[in-house]
Amino acid sequence: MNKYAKITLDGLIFQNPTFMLVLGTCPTLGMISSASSSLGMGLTVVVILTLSNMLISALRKVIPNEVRIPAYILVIATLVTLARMVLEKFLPDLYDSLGSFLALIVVNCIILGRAEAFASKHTVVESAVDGVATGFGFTFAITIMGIICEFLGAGTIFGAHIMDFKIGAFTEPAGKFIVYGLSIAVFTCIMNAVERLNRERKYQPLTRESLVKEAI
Amino acid sequence: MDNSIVITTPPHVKSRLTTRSIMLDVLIALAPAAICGIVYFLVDALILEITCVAFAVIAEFVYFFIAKGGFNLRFADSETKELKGKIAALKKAGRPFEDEQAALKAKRAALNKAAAAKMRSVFFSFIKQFDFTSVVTGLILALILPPAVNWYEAAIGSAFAIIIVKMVFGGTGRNIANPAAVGRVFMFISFAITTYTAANFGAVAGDEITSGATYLSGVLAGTYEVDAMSLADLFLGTGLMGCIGETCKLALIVGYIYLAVRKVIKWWQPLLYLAVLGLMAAALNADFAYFLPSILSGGAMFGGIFMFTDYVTSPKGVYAQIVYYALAGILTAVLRHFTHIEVVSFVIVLMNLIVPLLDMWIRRRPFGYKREKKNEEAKK
Amino acid sequence: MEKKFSVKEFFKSTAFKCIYVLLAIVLVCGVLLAFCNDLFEVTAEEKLNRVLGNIYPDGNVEEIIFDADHETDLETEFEKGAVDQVYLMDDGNYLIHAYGTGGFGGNVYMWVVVEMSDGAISGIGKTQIDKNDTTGETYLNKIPGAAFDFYSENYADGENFDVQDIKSEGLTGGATMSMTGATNAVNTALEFVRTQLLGEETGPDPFEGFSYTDYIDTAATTVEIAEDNESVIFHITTDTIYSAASKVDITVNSEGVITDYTIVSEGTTPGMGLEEGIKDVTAYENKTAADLIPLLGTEGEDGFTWENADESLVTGATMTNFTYVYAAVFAASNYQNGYVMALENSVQYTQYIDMENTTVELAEDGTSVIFSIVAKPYVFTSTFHISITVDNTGTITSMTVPATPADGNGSTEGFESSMDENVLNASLYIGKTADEILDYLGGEPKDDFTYEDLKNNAVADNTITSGATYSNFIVTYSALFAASNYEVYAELIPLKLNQQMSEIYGGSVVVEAVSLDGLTATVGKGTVNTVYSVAGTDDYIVSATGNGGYENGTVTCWIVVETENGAVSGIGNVVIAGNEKQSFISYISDENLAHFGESFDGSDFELADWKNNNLTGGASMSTTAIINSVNIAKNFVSANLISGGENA
Repeated sequence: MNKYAKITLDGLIFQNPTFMLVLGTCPTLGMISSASSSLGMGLTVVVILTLSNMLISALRKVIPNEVRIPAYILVIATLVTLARMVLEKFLPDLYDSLGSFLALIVVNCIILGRAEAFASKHTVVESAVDGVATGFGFTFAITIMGIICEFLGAGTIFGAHIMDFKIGAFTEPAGKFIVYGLSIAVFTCIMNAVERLNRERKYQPLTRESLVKEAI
Repeated sequence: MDNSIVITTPPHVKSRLTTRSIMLDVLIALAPAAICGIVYFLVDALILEITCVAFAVIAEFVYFFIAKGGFNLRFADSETKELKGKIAALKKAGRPFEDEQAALKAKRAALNKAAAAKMRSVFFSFIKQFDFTSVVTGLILALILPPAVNWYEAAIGSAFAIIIVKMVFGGTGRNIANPAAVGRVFMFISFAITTYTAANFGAVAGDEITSGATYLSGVLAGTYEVDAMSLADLFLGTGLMGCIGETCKLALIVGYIYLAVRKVIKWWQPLLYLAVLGLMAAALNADFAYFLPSILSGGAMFGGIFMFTDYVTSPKGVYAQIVYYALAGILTAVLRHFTHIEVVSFVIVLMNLIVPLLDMWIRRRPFGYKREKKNEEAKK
Repeated sequence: MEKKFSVKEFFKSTAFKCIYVLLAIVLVCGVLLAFCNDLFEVTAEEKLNRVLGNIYPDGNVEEIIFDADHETDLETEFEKGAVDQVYLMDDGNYLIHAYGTGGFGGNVYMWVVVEMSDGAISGIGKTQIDKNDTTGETYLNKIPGAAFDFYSENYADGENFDVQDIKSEGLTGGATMSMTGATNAVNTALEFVRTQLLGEETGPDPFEGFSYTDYIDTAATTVEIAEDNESVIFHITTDTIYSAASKVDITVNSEGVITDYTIVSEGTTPGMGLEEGIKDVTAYENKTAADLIPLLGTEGEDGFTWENADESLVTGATMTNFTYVYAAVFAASNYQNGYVMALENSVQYTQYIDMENTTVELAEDGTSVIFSIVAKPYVFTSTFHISITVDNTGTITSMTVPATPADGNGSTEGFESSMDENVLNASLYIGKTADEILDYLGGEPKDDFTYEDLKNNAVADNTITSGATYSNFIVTYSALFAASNYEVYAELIPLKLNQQMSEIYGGSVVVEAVSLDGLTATVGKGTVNTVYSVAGTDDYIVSATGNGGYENGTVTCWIVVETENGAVSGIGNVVIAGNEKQSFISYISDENLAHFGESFDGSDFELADWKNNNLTGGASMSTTAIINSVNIAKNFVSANLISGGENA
């Protein structure tokens, strides 16, 4: 498959930042108490990640190797500040729900990690695709976890009241950690099963009949 | 499978002690407390005990079943698929397909039989390796709950305790912390368990506390004097509010004696814990009158006898064990004093988590180690 | 071989490249951000509009009373918060942006709608947390939305909200401190409207304890002591009679007899031909309250009204007559109270003294007065704590000026040692009278002294104008305050004590302190604080603190212990004076306290008795503490003050 499809699939599934790379756990644990805030956080990260990847990729030849981390941080911090201003002006509700975690996106490992690992070595377009894919991988992951935690902890999904029975532990960081861990387990299990099925599909069992079939 | 040949690494010790027998001993030791709980708190206690044990066993069974492939069944394989394809083609062509259908049926029946056999075998292997640890966990969890807890909350707590704390980490012998304690903590933070109903019997001697907080939380908050309830009442659990297994200390002591005699736990471990707890509580309040009441109130005795002494989650070396129990006693007293709530479950979890550290830092006596002086004397 | 550092090499090296790349990024980002900050700025007005959109969709701002761009003279800072934006909406309600202290991360900012109707507060409308200004409330998301409906649903007239009520309804979601801040913000908004916009009194009513105040405008009435130093002149403004208030001056002597009644201005509408109906007020002179009360007619459920006035008053101007008689009764009944109030009002030189925190008491010798003065901040100084003792000749006998800020010296830090040494050791003041101290300030009594008065009057060769001038001035002023008001306080203190004890005793009394020297003050479960003997009787009023209350707290009570023939014969009134940690003290009923007197049988009181009679009201522990205090008082009197047969 072509380059961009590979990058996209990597970002979304095979190198999913939350489940596979376990990056960016701080905003994850902070925001998954409610599905809508985790969705908001995810989308914000998508935008910032894409832009930062593109910028850093554009500047990759210019920034010397010794100062790459401070330079990345500068760029990312500027982007986050811009995002804050724009959000406060045009989307105040999202701004309110993100609260203090918006500023924490500056040191979000996903953005810094992708900048370091990918954007500094690939072209702008590739970095952009990676940014979008990784961002959506992150969004998808924390939204799923947000739905689970919100449902179990508060009985609502995206604010819509579903049931009255609440297990309070899932609104606490303890419960969120457990959900996070179990989600990684489930995700890995699914990945393994898919891989196994893939393998089984590719390779036929070596029996006399199959050899005969092939020979004929 | 034939069990007459057993292959293990040395040292070899032949003994009739198995996990199952130890757990049965623990169950027998818990029986007085369980029965006392039912006597004091009637139906509520009975429901809780049954629910917790049932859901613990069910949780373990479900996990085991899934893990051992009980659901990984095939009801259709390549042959049946081929046959199905043939039948469809024959149907289309309008030709008789009874043979194929019979073959398909037979194949399907065989597969079903195989699947059923597999499920049965998994089930039987579960029973074979069932070592009652989940029964003990369920019962212990039930006994540290207050009688007002709803059954579904207890069920969730019990299932959580078994699945997340024990099974996910590898089953018996591999849990990171005492499952019942973690289950209790989970329930504490999830469900607001605030009402404690008083025991069935009135107070035997002295005053009775009829409303509001339990004796322990009252004393900690300063609402009650430390002599609000007589020691006899605390000991027998009459007129006392609390969790269903913790109130009658007499039953707990009977269990303790049984366990000590059967050498399931070391006799000095709970005593060390309780003594340090009492002394620390007396020291914190600068009044020796606090010594006995703090031992006799809350979950300290139950925790000390049944939960701290769990093999898996306590240190292996003797010195480490001493440190473990002493530290647990101090921590319980200090946390109780400053947070005004019953903290034994939390302290159990905390101490369990630092056990590997204790094991690593405190040197153990190597197995078979004898002091050199005695060796030299023996040589001479 | 070392490489020599050359400029050219430097410019080619990576170090330089790093520097200029970073600088370039910083510059570009900085410019971009500055530009965008302006572009995307959210003005205060936009924020307001957003808030309006949320909580006041159909409203418009009619008047900006106070916000960042408009200043106000109104008081905006209160005990537990402050108000920073107030808008009057077109439907008469107020939209207030306030913050409350006590939140988890500091202050919690709220938008509060205070609903008004007919010029009075009718309730709270929608409230909303201002999430932008509120920082550090990490548990903000845990507060359920329904929590903020609590304020609108549970508004009670004249009362503030208590976060404990919200907590007991389970609405805090674990974020109790944040809700405390929010509740304080709402209360602050309410207080602002009440005190600033509606002009309600916040302080205690000075006329509390006065009888017959129904038709008297207490806000405008004053008292003063007449020239004979005994009679009290009441300058009374009555409530509006028909169209205007009346002003009368009534002089009452120490027997409670009206010696003069003068009408200053009449309230009746002039020219309506009613003047003839007004009875001559000089007829009320030389009468006491008892003489005049019958004229007020029969007392109904709500007190006296002009409809029930005595026949002799019923002319065309009945209301006026009634009101004049009422004023006379007011004056004649309140001689004692009026005297005390007039004395208090005659205290001079209070400009720089914090009268609320300053305490004055009689020394043990019974004649000297000890002033524990807290002086207000003045320009650069903060509060000073000075204690001065003045003897019965008006001379200062001792004075302590603290030397360090920790002890109560209010000089700006570092300046306390620049204060004149004769001020610090008080040698300038000890042994001096008010007039002599007045000389330091120019010799002329004035209402408004400033530090300039000190500066311009160098005293002989004592140049107390050097160094920390403001501090020197404050200390001098405090000395002046103490020395000048000695007489007033010497008279006032016992009077106030008698007033207080009279209220407790249930009748007018004169009390005398009983020395506790050599007697054990701690008996049983608490302590005895003070004991007064009631003149003319064998009774004692004891202040005792009993412990054993809720959460190990205490209750302090005043207990009237009656004795007869050398033994305690009964318990009179029991009044609660204070408590520690007794959250349920309001459940103690009057019947609970009255039970002491009813059930007295000589032995110690026990809680079981109260429980059996269902008198505890649920506050058993507080009752226990009260019972302990009464037992202590009783036993103390019995053990120490009644000496067997000696008091026959």
